Amino acid sequence: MIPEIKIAHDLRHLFGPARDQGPRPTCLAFAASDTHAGTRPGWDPLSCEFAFWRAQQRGRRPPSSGATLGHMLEALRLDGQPYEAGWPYLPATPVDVDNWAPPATPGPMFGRDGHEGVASFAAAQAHLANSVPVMLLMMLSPSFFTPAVHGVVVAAPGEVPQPAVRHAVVAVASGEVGGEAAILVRNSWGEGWGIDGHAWLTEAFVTPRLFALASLGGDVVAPLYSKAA
Amino acid sequence: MAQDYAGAVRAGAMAASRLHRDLGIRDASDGAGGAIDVFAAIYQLDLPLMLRPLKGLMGAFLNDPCPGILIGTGWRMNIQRFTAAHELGHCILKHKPSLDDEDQILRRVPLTVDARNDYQETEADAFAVGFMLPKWLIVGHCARQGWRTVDLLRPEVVYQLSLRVGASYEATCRTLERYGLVNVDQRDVLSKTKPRPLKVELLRDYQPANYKGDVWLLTDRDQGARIEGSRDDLFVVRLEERSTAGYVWNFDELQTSGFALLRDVRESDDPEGVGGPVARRVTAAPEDGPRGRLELAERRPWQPNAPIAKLSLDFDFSGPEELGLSRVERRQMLEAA
Repeated sequence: MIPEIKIAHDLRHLFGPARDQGPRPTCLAFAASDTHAGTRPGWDPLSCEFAFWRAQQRGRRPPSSGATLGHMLEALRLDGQPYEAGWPYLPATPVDVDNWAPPATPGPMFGRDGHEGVASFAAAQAHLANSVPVMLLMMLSPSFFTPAVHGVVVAAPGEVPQPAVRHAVVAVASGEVGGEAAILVRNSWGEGWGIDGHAWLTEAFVTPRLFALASLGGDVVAPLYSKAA
Repeated sequence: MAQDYAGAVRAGAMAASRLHRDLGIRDASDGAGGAIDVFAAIYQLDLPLMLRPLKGLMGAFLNDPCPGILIGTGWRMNIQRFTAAHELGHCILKHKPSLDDEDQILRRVPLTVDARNDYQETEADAFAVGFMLPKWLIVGHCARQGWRTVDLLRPEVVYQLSLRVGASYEATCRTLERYGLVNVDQRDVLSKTKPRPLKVELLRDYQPANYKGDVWLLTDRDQGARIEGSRDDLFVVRLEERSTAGYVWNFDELQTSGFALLRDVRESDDPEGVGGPVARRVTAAPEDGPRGRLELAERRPWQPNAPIAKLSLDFDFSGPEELGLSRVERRQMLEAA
């Protein structure tokens, strides 16, 4: 049976098609970059590669590991990021870390302030009601990998969050699924996942899995990137 | 027959090397990384072999009216294999008939002076060690697994090596010493660790009815390998999984291949990072001694034709040998029928 879906607040018009991180550990860079691009006028995707590179530099973490939320927000605020065309996303994790660097002139840089908020379903709903997309950091569980045909993630009985699988998505709409409060998330697993890369998560699904939430504030002036710096 | 201990060891080891060459064993073993199949060698030599309960005996070599080997049932596979290699040594070295009990094979430290001073048992032991555990086989497994000499000081590494070469943990420790890969003190430290705590550590919170079976740790290093275990063995598959990118290992085939899934967890050693790869750790048990080929793939469920990693290996969990003919002989007869 297809559950009835009622949409209360929908910010999908702020975004372009869902993007694809491929096999790399860059979900947080995609969530942050897309949230950033979605809060700018028009849709012009920003460079995930640059945001991830800066966050890993700040955290002294290799490109083969995930990023931390603190370093990602710091990178957006202090370093900014160029358009996607300024440093296009690399399909594979760089092997030669020493040569992992942006082109000499990636173009204009865009900085954005960001804040970590209360990690709750209600807080995510409130942001969406204020037309603010929000990053959700969640522990996944098996049902998340296979949303139902109508785009709703339905947990199997007894399914519990897996603390090791820490993933980031963007909440882009809120509403109800089958009478239960729900949020529509934009993933970075391509358009083949869920419905065009999006899926509905109910409050019962989100609450035990959500461990962090962040939103972006106003523009900040970011320094122009130069290789010499 | 050798006249002294050193001569007996040399004669046994040389005979094992010659047989490897004559049967093309090294060429056949390279790459797949399994153990040397002693029973297949006996079959290849057309030596009569029978498995049966042998009260008080582990094995016997008889030469009247013609050479033949008896191996006791009811022992663990690595013991059956060593006994078979020992009896094969008696045959190849044209020894007198020999009835081998636990004192002869298990309680005597391999390659120590023969109590009867006729060096027949010393020669057969040297043959068994040389045949089952040649240095090239150990070095090959270490290269495949990425184990360096310093890793051979870790009991958990030596235990996994012992499973792959089909020998007991203790015999593997002594062989490492014999080849100069560890010294006598290091071997002594290794020998003080018993396999049980290593099995407990591998199984984490899964508690089997007993810890008699071995516990294999299979990783991407075992790609293309041949895994030969016993019906009561368990195994833990540990693979890197990029689940936060949507890619997951599908273990459904494990169940269709005759294994029971006992535990399935994802682990991470990075509590701060978001989106990093995890270690998928699946514990499984063979049901009804399965034998075949296992193929696992890491892919996105909605993109089934685009795996980013695969693990395939041949497995045989039908050991140990049971009453009657050896498994290899039965299979050959069935194929010929």
